[in-house]
Amino acid sequence: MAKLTLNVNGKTYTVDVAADTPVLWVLRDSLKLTGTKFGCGMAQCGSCTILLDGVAVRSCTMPVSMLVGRKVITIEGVAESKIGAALQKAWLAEDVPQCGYCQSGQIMAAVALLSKNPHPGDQDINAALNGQLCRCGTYQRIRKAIHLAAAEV
Amino acid sequence: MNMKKSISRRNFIINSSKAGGALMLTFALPLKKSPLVAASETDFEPNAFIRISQDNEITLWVARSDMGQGVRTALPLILAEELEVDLDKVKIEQADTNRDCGKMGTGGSTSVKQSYLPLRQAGAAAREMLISAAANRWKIERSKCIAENGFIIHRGNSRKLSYGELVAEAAVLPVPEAAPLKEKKDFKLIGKSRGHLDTFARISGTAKYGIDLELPGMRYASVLRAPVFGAKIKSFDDAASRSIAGVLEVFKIERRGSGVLLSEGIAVVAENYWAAYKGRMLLQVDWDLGDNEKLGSADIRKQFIADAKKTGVDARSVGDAEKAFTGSEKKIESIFEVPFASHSPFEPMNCLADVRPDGVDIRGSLQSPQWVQSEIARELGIEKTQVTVHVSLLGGGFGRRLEPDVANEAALISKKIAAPVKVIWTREDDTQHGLYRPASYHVLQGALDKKGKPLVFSHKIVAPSISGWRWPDAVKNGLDNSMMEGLKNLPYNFPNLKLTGVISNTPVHCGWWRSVYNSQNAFANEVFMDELARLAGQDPFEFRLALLAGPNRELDHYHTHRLRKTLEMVAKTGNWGKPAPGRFQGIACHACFSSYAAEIMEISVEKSGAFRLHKVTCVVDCGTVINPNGVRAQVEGAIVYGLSAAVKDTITIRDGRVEQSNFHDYRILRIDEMPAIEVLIIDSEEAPTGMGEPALPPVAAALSNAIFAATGNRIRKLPVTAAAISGSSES
Repeated sequence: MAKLTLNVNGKTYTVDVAADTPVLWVLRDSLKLTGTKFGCGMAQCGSCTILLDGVAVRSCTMPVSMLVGRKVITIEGVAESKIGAALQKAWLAEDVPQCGYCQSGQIMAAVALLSKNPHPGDQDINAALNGQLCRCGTYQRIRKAIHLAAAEV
Repeated sequence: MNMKKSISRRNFIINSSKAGGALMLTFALPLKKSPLVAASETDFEPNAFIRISQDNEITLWVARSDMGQGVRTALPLILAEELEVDLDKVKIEQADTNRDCGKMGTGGSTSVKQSYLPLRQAGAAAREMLISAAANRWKIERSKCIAENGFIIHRGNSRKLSYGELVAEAAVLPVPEAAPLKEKKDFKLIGKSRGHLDTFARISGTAKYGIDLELPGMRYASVLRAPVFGAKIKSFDDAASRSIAGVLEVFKIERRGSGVLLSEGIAVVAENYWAAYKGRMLLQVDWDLGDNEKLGSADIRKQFIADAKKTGVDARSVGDAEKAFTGSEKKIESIFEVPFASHSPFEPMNCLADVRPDGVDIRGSLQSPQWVQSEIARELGIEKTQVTVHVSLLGGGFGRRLEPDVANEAALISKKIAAPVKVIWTREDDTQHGLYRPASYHVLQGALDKKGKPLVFSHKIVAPSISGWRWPDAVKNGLDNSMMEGLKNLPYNFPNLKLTGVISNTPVHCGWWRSVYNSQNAFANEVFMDELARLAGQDPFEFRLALLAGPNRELDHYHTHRLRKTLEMVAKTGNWGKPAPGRFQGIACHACFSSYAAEIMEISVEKSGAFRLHKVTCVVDCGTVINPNGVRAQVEGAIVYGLSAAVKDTITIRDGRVEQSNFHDYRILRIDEMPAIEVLIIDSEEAPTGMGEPALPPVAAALSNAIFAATGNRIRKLPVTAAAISGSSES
């Protein structure tokens, strides 16, 4: 077991977990931040996407020890940024989710995209969100919502 | 709660208010006896409640599971319409099995269809009672009172009373037997698009799915299940598992019941999920692999081919198809093959069980809470009333969460450790221990007469019976009615028709996959219709239209004139016959779950066989529409779901096990493959019908027909492959 200090959504947490525990399970089970979802456990679906120092990463395959000294943003903290808030607003306007299970990951990936590219085209969106799967088939609305948020920001 | 257990059909709204001053109405939602067994008598049973409290809180208990199809918006919307309140004023509570809510299953695209009238009647009854209460208070005629936006207003006078101020008086009034329902022209909410009430929760990390639930003292469990269908545990070594910090217990799950839905397994229970998972991965098991050790997809195909020679049982027969086919000179026979498919909802299977001496609580993402309740009672040897099942939001369902297997497993583990436990399946568990859409094999024969007019249509489906595989008694006279869905009601007016089923069960676990057998039957029907149209030298749209022409015919409860109109509308909306340059179109239509859908797919194909799906146009007739936005979402979703099954990976069997394991080899459609989807909803006065499934069945056929238009190669076997498109493999 390892005692680690983590910075998540601007707050400091201390956890005592096995050092190989994936970030996903530390967020969910130790910090009770259950908005980040378990989908595949092998970085195939994107449901567990979080921002690590602003970059979209898969929390299901990343050991928690890699978080030390870095800043994590999860869906619970996304509204704090202008881009995150605009995306949530656009997601509401387009009524994107069906079951919603993958949407935390979709939004995190969209935050990372708009942070780098404020006015992405469809091809940019396809490239950035290609690894974010949605079983309910909300892709058309996701694209629209990203364009809407980009126009807003 | 003081409520009558049974009520008459006529008087099915009950005033169950009690001291405390709130107005509480219990009302009935009709529901088939079980969502899982084909057509049975419709019952009226108390199935939901509304309560209006003195502080103006309006609560609706919803007894249906929301897996993304939006029932937690559609159902309160229907109530709010008649009650004359804004939708935001209705608080939704998810009913648990203790609430005496009648039948609670969610399947078969029935939630809106079955709730529409009862919810309206309940809302109208409450509204009329509140009006009477106000009229009594003001000592004026009822006709001078109107209900609006949560108030009763004295017409022509400025005074008004909120519903909360009136409920104590309303609650003691008799329930009107037939409160007047609003006319469609007066609807303020029904028929207008709006976002779903749960949307913000679902995009802010606050929505609670089954996998997010916790209880104090809760343990986590990961279960290693028999890899081969029917395999048993001979012995196992858990020394390495137990060496993981946090692992508490390792044991074989001991079963009492005889249900077919659970493979033998070993549970690793730990203080946290990661320890349970690691411990489970270190288990060493000596399996008795049993009879299915060598089973492969090719064996199943061989069995289907052999069984296709059996006579089978006709679900419907017109004229003499065999004789007419034999006598015809212009005829074709085609074989269609559809593979097993996994539901793969995004939230992996999970369940939180708390088995205590004083009772059992089951919490999770469940479509059949009452089936779970009775299964667990049977498995634990206790009374059903001791088991309460609580339904969370569902991270997708598609039929997979109809099954009680994971809840059963969680209850057995909780009982053994005498503590609450959350069982979480891995994605590999989900992919390999699913209850799959049955693979199927279809023999179709069609013929034209000497003048080239349609003469024969015959379709024999060979497939496992989902019900018969579990409950042999469910099949009567060799016919599984459910297997004939989307076949026995074939709408085309052939003078000779023969629609036959042959049950061919396999050891592969099978279940109700979105649209059930409609997905297989519609694929074969609608591709074959395209083939017959070509044989007749006719346009595939015109060919269908001609066979739907004439006076309306009713088949089961489906109307040919509604399907015809849906088909005509899709041809118009989707520019049938006028694709963009370099593109090709395919068309298909189908009626199921009491709704109608027609689709046009527009594609382009490269020489390699790679194709691009540019656009899907879908027209649906689902009667009166509650929330057009919700219908569109379901159409988009069903099309994407159908496309994934048609063009991506399938479930195949090798050495008695499922070959695929996760989203790298059971791939689904990605955003860059997403076509533009245009949805048109037919304006209708008919009663509302289901939309969770009906847009799925035409998908694979419309695509196959578009591929034929582009390449001349006919796809009769799913999934669609580049080799088949380019004609370099037999399809």
